[in-house]
Amino acid sequence: MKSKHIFRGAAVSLILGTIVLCTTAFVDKYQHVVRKLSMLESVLNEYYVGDVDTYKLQEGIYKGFISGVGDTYSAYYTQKEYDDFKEEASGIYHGIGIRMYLEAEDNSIVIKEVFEGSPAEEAGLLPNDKIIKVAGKNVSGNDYTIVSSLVAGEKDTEVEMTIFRPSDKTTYEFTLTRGNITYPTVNFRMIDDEVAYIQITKFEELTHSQFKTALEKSEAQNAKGIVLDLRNNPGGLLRIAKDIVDELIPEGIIVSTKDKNGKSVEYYADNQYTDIPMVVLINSRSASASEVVAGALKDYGRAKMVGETSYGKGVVQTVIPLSDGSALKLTTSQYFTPSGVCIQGIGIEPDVQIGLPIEKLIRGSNLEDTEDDQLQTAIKVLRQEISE
Amino acid sequence: MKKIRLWMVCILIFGVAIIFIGKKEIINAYFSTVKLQFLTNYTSKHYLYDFKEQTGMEGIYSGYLEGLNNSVTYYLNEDDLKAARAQIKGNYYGTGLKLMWNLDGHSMMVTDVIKNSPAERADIQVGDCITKIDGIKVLPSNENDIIKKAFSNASLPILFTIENGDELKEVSLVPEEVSLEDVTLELIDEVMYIKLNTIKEGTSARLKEMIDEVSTNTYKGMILDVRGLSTDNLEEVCKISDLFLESGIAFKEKSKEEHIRIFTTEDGAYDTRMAILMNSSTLGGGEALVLALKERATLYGSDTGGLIYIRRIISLEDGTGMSVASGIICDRYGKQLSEEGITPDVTLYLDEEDQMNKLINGYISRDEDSYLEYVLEKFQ
Repeated sequence: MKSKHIFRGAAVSLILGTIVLCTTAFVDKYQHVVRKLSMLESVLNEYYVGDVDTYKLQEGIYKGFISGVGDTYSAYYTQKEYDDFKEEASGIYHGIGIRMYLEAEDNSIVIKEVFEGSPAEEAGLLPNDKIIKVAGKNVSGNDYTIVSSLVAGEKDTEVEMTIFRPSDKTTYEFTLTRGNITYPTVNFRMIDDEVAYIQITKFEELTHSQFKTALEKSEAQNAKGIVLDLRNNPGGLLRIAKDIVDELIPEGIIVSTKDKNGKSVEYYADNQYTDIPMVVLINSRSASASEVVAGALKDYGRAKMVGETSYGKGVVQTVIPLSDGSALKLTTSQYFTPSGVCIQGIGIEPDVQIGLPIEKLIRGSNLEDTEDDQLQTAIKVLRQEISE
Repeated sequence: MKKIRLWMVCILIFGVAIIFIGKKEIINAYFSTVKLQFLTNYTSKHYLYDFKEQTGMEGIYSGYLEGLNNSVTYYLNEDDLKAARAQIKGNYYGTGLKLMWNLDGHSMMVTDVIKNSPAERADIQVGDCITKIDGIKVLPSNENDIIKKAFSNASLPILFTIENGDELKEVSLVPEEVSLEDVTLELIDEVMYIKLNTIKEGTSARLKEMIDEVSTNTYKGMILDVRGLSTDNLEEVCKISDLFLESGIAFKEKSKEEHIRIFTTEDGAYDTRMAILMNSSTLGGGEALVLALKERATLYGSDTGGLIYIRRIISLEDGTGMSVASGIICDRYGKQLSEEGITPDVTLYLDEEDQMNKLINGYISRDEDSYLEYVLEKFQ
């Protein structure tokens, strides 16, 4: 009888003891971190001349922890950053539908593009209009980074904007109603009767359907070949890149990914595709999803690559939302081209190597077609493909 | 009886444990241990490469201070603390290489080699192209690793692979503290050209000596070149301004709780006509100097950098440290230096040729220095 009690008592004490030890060890792990943080805090209390936002300090801790992992592409997103990220990846945002740039000459903010069917277009804003006042605030080039947050806002809300139009030297005032703006990531035009030009600037939710539209337009215009421009495209959604490749190649593997535990996922193309002759433009800033597209088209011999060795990002990130609205972006797998190559740190080599001289590189996207050596080479290569 | 007592003891132990644990959670006002533990677990399970929890923990301190979003407040590990202490003294710490990415993204170019540095001793030249650092290819996809390695302050060798055309060589450099020449003075076309590179203890005295030495010659005026001058040593900067100002207030420094420190100058000054050359890399104490002299001199160049904070380097008991913004620079009337910088009286632009030179070579040599040329002409 006594031994039963002793056994029970011993068992319970053992269990409780283990629980206490585990939990205190768990909490003890961070003891020295907390101690050091309080040292840093006391230095701030003694000397720091600026304002302290304790929320930002806490968020900074999680950010610092993840960046301490040492991976360029992994990061911790605060709730606001995650919301912005979701909006950006969706390709839809709440605004008026303009793209702006900073004019260094007179330190002004100028409208570069007015999107078709947008509130900005409806109201009568035009490219080259200089934005001088937004939501009651006078703005100049110095405010460039905050202007987009002033312009953006909830759908169906209003924003006031004053612009100066250089062409008639007049100031105009507008009240615009914000809408759901579809950010175009695909640009299409016919270079001549035979050659269509399709540029993809990023891979977002709507990019696939925008690309399909561009393919249809090429067909409608009887294009004999397409120059697909992926230069400076930093990547985006892997799934969308795969859908785009699917339009262009017959049945077969597009890309495969492998995670830490060796688990492999493969993406395949169906047998529906267009076989119109194609040449792809790439440069050192064509990264990630762009390289998935280039890698697949190159391995199948579907299109020649023209330009320079691409960026070399062969790893894929996953974004995990956390319960409090923040998120963790983590490099979780590598991807492999159809021929089984991981291009991380290596990039994709062009079939035809052609760079741009420094004077033209500086001017970025402000080159005329005839000045764009890489584009001209691509067109030449394409014409050869067409005639074969 | 025995049974009841046993359970009572168990509950008592459990209760104490809960209080013990709860007390620890309340004490931690900095972060949620549950959240941090989740991030740790998820990362070690799913992160593609090896994850060392320790390096994550180290990152916490940097992240915490970065949450302040203040450009001069940040965490310093042991090696970075060593480097920061050298810089506060007005010296340089590193390999001696100033680098710039080449526009094609496939290499970095040496734009400057600090005198008496490990890089100079190893015979590295301005214009050399670096294609690998510690074996890692210089590519945009490796940018973060490249920057970390190239500018590491650890006392460990860094291997630079240099390729100039067909010539390939590998050089190993260990970062160290290098004494910088703080001030130089030369007479060009009867104009005193004073270049302030950095501020150290005694810079003002050295400058006075140099000026007195050439004062016997005739001179039409002086040019004070503070382009690239960045310092936290307001005491020495005040002494320098004192050489050129009669008694009064040079500038002020505002610290915590609106506490104001006034920097004053005394009677006696060189009253020659003065031009100041400045640009966006004139920072902090360099800007305080401009504030002190702007009513007495003509300012040429472009807007200064707008670094309004003075920093202090603090050591922690474990050998690490931090840099903290301890003061804000204000002019003699108490108005804060603007983050847009100080606007010159005469704005000079780099002409297209100079801009191209800067982009291709990474720097502008004295012969090509069009700002200096322009200002020298003004004195003739």
